[in-house]
Amino acid sequence: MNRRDRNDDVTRDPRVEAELAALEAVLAGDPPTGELEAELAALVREVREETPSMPLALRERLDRSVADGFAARRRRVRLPKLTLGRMLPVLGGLAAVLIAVVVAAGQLSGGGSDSSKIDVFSQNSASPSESAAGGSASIATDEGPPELQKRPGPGAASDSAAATATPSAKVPQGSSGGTIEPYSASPSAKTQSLAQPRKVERAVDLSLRVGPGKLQDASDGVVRVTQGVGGYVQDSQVSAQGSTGSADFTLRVPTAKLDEAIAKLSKLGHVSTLNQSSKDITASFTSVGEKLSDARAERKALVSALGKAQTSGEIASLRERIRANRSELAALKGQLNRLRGKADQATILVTVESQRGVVTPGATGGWTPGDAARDALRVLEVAAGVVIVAAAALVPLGIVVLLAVLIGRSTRRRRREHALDTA
Amino acid sequence: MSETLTMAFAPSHTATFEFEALYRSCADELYGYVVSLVRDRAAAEDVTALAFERAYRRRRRFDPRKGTPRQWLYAIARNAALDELRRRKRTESLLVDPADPDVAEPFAGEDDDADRRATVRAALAGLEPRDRELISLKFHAGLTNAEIAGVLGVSESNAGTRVHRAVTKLREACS
Repeated sequence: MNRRDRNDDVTRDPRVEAELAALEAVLAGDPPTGELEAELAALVREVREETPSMPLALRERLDRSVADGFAARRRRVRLPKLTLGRMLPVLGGLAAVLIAVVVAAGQLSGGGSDSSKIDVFSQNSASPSESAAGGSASIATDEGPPELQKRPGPGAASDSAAATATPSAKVPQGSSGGTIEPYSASPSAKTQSLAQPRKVERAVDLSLRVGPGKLQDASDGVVRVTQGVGGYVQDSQVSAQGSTGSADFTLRVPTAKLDEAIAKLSKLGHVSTLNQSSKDITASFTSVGEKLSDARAERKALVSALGKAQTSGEIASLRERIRANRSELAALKGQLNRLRGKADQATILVTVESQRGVVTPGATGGWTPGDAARDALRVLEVAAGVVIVAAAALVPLGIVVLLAVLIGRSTRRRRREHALDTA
Repeated sequence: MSETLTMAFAPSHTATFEFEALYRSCADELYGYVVSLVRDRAAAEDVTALAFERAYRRRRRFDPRKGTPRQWLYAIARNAALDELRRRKRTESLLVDPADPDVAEPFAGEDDDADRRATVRAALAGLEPRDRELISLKFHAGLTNAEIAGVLGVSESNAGTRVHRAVTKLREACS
């Protein structure tokens, strides 16, 4: 609209108004009441006489087209109209997929309240305590438990030999619990060389997370599992504050039942860390055993010599040596028993932490209404996040598209008007 | 007539209207309007047919709150005619059509009536396209100023002023 048009909007000459009123009266068929009306009536009649009439062929063609709904002229393959009702299931499905993806991503990244950064099977040469403290030599969750090594002989063995790991435990992706499947040892873990049985000291550092109020249940479960596999609780310390707290256990279980114990303990809560170490003590065991055999042989020789001694000096000297030999035998037996105990009894350091926002698996209780409310809140949070992210992406895009449409319409209108000006 | 057609359109702005009634009432006038725009009867036939087809296809999108069915139909026809003019302008360097003698050239009559018709025809031909369009919308189609405003996309007051200006030019050319 140019400036003249805008002026036309606000001011109009009374004479113009009168002539327009006369024109409207003439067009309405009113009889002329003055010279102006008569002139306009004649003009209208003459102009209408110049109106070209629609050709008969066009009239007939249009009649047919209107009668059959213009079907014959253009048959298009029309896509179904996208209404909100039809789009709703699709949009709902897309939203569900988006939420599932976000939830899964949250679980994998450990950002969720009920998720855990799960499971590190650690295998290193450090002692159990060092392993628990450091945990630097850890491998991923899907790495399996360490496999006991087979070494060619005691001479080649090292007391601090590290075991290799084989995959056996897997983390269910996207599971709300974030638990690992029960630990199961590979067959090779239980297989030792028949020719040269290995003596391996094993230790495990296991950290569990349970929901609030579940600490006592989990602690009881630890004791129950330990006793169930024939072990005992060497040390325990429970610290509780309200519905949260922590408990530390030092367990001793038969090495043969270690895998079973870990598998059962893992079910008591969410496994946040699981470090396992092994130490080959075959060389020490063999060395002490050989020393013990030597000492026994020496004692046998000393006793034989004592029986053949004739002088009091020889007898006193031999008795002194036998006494020393007896002490050496006792010490060696003690060493051997300790080594045997290390090999036969594995140590498990269990830490149980009770935290808010952790949903404990079925072993320690059911899914409570509070858990359901927390999960619902979490779902709402994720849904809101999805909406915000989608809006952040779609709103600018929508604005750009809207601007493009408006500009396109304006341009097309301007070009059409220009076409009329230059016609 | 327009009121009758408006009533034929259901109250809901998405309702189906009586398209055939609209066609019967407007076909001749619409054709004359298109001829006044494109100045070519053959092209006007195609444009008229296209306008009715477009209107039929879009009949469910008609919104009575935005104007009468006639106004809506003429706006469709106007856009189709202007598109035809644009298309013709793009190809005119390749193909120059001779002017339609029935439309462009004044009729050389022998009596006074024939002279008068020739004068009116020449006056119409001499008008600017926009003024000729307004005369057609007002005299041929019989649209109200409000409907003309809706077709042209201007205010009703502005449409009235434009109509007056075009009629004045025509009267001067015919005098």
